[in-house]
Amino acid sequence: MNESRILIAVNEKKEEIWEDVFGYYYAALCSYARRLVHDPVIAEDLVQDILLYVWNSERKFIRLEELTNYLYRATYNRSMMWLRHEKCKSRHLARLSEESNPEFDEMFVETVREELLRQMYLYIDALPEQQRKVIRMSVEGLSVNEIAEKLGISVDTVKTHKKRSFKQLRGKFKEDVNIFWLAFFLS
Amino acid sequence: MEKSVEKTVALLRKSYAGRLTAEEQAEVDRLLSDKDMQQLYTTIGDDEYLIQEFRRYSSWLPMSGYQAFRKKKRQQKIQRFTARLSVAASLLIALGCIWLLVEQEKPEKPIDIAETRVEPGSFRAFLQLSSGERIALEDTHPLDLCETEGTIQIDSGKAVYSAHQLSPAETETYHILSVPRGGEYRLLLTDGTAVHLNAESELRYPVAFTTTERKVFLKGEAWFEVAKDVDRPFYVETEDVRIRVYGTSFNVNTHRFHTTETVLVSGEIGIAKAESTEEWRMHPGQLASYDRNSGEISLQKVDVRKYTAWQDGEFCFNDDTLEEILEELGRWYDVTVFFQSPGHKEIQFSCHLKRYEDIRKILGAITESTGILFEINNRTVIVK
Repeated sequence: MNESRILIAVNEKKEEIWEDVFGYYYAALCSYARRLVHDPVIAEDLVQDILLYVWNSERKFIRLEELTNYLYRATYNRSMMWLRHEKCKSRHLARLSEESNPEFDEMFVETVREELLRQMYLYIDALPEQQRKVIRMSVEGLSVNEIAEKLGISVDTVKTHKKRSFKQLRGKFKEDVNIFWLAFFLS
Repeated sequence: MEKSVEKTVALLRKSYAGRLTAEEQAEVDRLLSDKDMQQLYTTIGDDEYLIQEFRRYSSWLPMSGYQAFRKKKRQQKIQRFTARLSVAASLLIALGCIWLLVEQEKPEKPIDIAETRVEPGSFRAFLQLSSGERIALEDTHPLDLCETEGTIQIDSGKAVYSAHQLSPAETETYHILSVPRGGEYRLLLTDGTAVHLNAESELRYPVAFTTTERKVFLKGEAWFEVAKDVDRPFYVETEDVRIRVYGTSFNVNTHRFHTTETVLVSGEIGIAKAESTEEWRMHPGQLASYDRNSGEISLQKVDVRKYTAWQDGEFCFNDDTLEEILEELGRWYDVTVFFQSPGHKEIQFSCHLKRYEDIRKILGAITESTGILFEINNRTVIVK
């Protein structure tokens, strides 16, 4: 359901659901670009440009995976363009990053990493409420004790939730994602 | 083997969930034999690593990204809009602006549709022989003509002259090649000089040149590539000027409103007023304008492409007034131009257009950048 929603937003340039595309990809693409340009602000700027480019382009995608791959590749290309441009601007930087830029194929493991993270991050919202809260608070930097205190549950329960949640996130398949939760999140 | 991010991600997640089939397990083992992949598998399996990565993810809020995107989208629109506005403004103050239209797509519907198609010019001319007989030269009919001094082969928009005798003729027999509006024609003279005549132009020339000099008479516009012959200077005479040529290529145009323009591309020519012996030597890249009002010749350096583009199949206008531009288009498309508001005549405009397009496309391009509308009615273009 939601996947076709993303495809519709991209293929038909639906302004009202275009924001969902950001929910789906923005953080992961920024993270991916940051691994290449080593600057979170630049990364963000590049990803905004890419999505603006997609918005202006006529390209249609049949499968969501096709769009996902396209976006990673676009992010890779745009980041490389930026790096080359920067290297031209400053010889100094060129010496700093003497290591040659990887080809997109050499980025395979990194792309897999990002896509794993993206899917897992997206599915946090599909977790049961208390588990979700524990994960959110952990990500915010709260300690197990602080979380236990805030939620009024035992430290052990927090630990269990945490462990189980991450295990679920890693292992969740597309097909057993709770559609209801995703639909709720994306609407 | 092709690497698929999608399949690898699905396989690894299945592996974390412990739901691999034996076959898939073998596939994962094979994947993890790669050092980097093994490292990835271990880090993703670490809760603390995931917390770190997710913390970074949470700093890129989709909401703020979306807002920045919308801002960029708006700026893009504004940029496009202001670009259009500034074009309009610069035209209003009659400064003219460069507008490359050669590759421009067909504008939607800037011109009222008329039933008659206005085609560009084609290879056609009339040849007046020494006898006074006038022959229509059409593109499609190859023709061989014979005069006492030589033969003329006419084929595919070109008249090629060759002299009969090895010794040059004593007296000169003249031919007149007239190109009507909407036409162009090419000539190869007995001495090897090539002439390309533009629309509404006329050249009078001997069938074979005499021993002493080569002289042709031009009305209108022509491009000359004169064969070198030190013993017999080549002269192009117009009503206003006489051009002495020493083997060279150049363009002469008497069509301009107040001037006769000669542009030299290569070689060397000398230019003099029709009734004068005082000669100005021209160098390549120079334009000599004879001003019919003052009777003066002035030389200046120019971009020759503007003056020679026509014979490469293009129109090249550069800060020319709409009146001059339409005058030239009128000659090529054989249409008459009528200005409803005379104020439009003075608007200056630069453009680069293909000569063999339908006039509608050319006018559409002008409309697009000036906002001036045209109506085509039979063979009249009305400037609104």
